[in-house]
Amino acid sequence: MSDTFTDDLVEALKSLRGFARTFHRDAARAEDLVQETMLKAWSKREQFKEGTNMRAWLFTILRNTYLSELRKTKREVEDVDGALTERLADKPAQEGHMAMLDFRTALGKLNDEQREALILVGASGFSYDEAADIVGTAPGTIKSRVSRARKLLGEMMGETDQSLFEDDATVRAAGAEGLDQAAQAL
Amino acid sequence: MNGRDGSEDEVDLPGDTASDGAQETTQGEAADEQSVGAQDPIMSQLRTLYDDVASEPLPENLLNLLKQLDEAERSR
Repeated sequence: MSDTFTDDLVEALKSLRGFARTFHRDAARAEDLVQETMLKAWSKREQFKEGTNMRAWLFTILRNTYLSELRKTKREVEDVDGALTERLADKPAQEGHMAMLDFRTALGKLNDEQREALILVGASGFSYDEAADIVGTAPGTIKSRVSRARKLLGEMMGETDQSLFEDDATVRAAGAEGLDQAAQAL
Repeated sequence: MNGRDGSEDEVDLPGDTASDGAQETTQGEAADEQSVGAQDPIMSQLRTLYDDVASEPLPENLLNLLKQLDEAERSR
């Protein structure tokens, strides 16, 4: 039974690493988080119910680990925090509003909740329901975060014009089809 | 505000909960395939970024750590 747990853990940790490295730009921090999650999962392995979703379980541990570290760090750098936030907030403006961003940079500019939902559903392959359980919110909330995140990424990467064009083309095509159908119905 | 609102009216019988849950998952997965389509160039960049790491074998240091934990457990 212990062997199955370890094998499953190794398998699930691969996708956990995928998530952590996509979520964090800082690779070293992502790897630390994965290791921390692995150690916690090991120490809690008695709590894991065999046959349930190991990946979802690990992702929940990773999330809690990240959030508690975030709270700790915030407390430690409370004085500097204001200055740091200001500096970070300045950056996008300096880069120019119309500049097209590369994917990695654009992803980094989403807020944590949006980035998390987007990766869970769009890359880790969780359903909205599973992602909602991991995050501790409603599936509808995950759904709107994903679609908001997707929209923002598109805007940051200069997709706006192209997608308008595509939408327009789709509308026109659909319109033509609709007219055909309407004509046939007559 | 509650996203599960819709099902609350229907799910009064405790026996129904399991089958309803299964149904929701299937619907959710079907919706995923639609909204996060393989055609979307932005989403495929996200998946590439993710898969690059997720398809790698686990780094040696993690595997070694796990092996040590396993051995410590066995020798207890």
